[in-house]
Amino acid sequence: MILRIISNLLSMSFVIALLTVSSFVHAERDEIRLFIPAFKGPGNLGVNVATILNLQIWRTLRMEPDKNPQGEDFGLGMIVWGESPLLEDSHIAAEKVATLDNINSQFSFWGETFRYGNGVIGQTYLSIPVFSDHQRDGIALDDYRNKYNEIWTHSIKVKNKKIQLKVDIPNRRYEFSPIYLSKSIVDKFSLPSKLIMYKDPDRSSPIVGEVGNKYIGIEPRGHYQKVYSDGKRGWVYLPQLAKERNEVVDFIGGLIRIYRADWHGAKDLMKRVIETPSTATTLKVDALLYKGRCLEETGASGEKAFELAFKLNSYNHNTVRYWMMSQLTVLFQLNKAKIYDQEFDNKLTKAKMLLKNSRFLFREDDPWLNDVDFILKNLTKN
Amino acid sequence: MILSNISTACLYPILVVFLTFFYSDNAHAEQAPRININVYHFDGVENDELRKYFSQYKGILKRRISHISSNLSNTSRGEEFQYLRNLKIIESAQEAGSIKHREEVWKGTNTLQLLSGIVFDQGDSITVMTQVYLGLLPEYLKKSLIEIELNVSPEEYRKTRDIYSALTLYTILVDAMDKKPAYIASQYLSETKNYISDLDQLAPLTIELNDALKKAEQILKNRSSSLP
Repeated sequence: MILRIISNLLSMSFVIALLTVSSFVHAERDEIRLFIPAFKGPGNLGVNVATILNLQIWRTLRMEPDKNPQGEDFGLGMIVWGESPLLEDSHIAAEKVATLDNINSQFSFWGETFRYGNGVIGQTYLSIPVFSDHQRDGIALDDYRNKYNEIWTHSIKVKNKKIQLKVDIPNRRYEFSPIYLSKSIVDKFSLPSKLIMYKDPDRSSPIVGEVGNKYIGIEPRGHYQKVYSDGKRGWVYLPQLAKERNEVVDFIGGLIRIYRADWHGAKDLMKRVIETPSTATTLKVDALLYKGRCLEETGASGEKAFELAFKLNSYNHNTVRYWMMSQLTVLFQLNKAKIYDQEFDNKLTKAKMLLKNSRFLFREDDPWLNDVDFILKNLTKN
Repeated sequence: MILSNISTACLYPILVVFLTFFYSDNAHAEQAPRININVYHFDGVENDELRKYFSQYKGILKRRISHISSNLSNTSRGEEFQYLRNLKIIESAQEAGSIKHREEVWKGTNTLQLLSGIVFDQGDSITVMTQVYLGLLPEYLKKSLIEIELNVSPEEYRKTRDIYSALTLYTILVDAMDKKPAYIASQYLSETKNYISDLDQLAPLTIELNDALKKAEQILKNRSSSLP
């Protein structure tokens, strides 16, 4: 685990907790980053809430599956931690900061806090910038990745025409449902400097020190988190953080896993988002699309998830795109194997009907729509 | 506040001036998208305490409008949606006036909604009854004037899925149906559907809005299929 500090950028200092000790050695590997500035709020409240969520999300990052017989490696995931809030409360400002060269984060998670009764409310937002929409010195920005796992791509040759179908993520701006945090939790987990480090993952073991303002997360184990801070290593007890889990943490954790091609892990977190009763329909639809995509990537069918998303909102063109990609997966497989049976005919008819009924949701000149049109017209045994 | 005690006859010249301001500001009101939400005088704001609550109520409205604006003008949706970055609340101490007057303001400007109402102090809570005038937009709704009750409380502040936001999205949708291509209107259709799905499905206005969305869907589908 490596700690990196970027100092005094926009009057902020940043602490970057990396998930691996070898991040700089493997600089050619893609890095997926989440930027979390302190939240706005009275006193230390914003810092407190952002710290809690920071650690909650951090615990969802993983370099490899829990059981890893195939030796999978999800690359680098990290959280860039800002000690000050954004200068302006807006998605535009959050996106701009995320694309700064020394932040270079695919996600910006920001928010505000305010007191309510005996607790604290955290209003949170997620901004996912399109780097190429931002420029520096007239040149479009880049997040220096080699692979964009979040883009669902199908490549096929139909009637001698090479087609690459691409579907982007469904949304790039989210306003989450407010999070309720009890006063005791916020007080207890104020700043990282107030967290006690124990020698072992056991609160009855000797205290080795307190976690400073700069810290590196090393390893989660149950309700404990191993950290390195001020030259010491120790275990921090975080039971309430796990208890306070909500759909925000699961959704962002799942999204980061998708960007890192951790399909099984992402599916698990998206499933939790879908099953959380307080999840808003917008988020539930997107979580279903992501879950379906994860299933498809692992060789299973995501059709049920897409169908459910479509039932929740049949006017969402992203749902149509994702569902169509799923239909095409099967059609391409059958076409490749030259199996033009009843299943092929049924799938083709279903795909054509889906497109016919949903055409009004698309621009007439939408390249994806026109490519799908061409494929469906020409993907026949004849 | 001052205007509330002036008779309608006396009010007329003032309203003409107010209207003129809006008209001159919007020379192409018929084609321009509707992006202004006019908040007129609310009755019952009679002391400092109620003024504070009324100010908080406007804060809730601004937050909801800001959320809708930010969501719909997301750059990834495309340049055509950027006009909604200008969606805003315009405050006025004037009376909203008669329905006929509201209709004139609505017709002559790029006003999306005209809000007026009354603030009630109910002892343990403050309630604001808001009249939302939708102009001629609600061709799929039964009425152009809809009443919405809202408690001024932190709980209300936290809501982003509420009937007022759903209604606002619906008015943006209907306005876009005449002025924008179907694929743009359909994105508003989708957003309105998302919002309505999180509301009480048995509430009369929710039922009415759901029916209205189906009619809007059919119109957009017909328009799309009639293209060469």
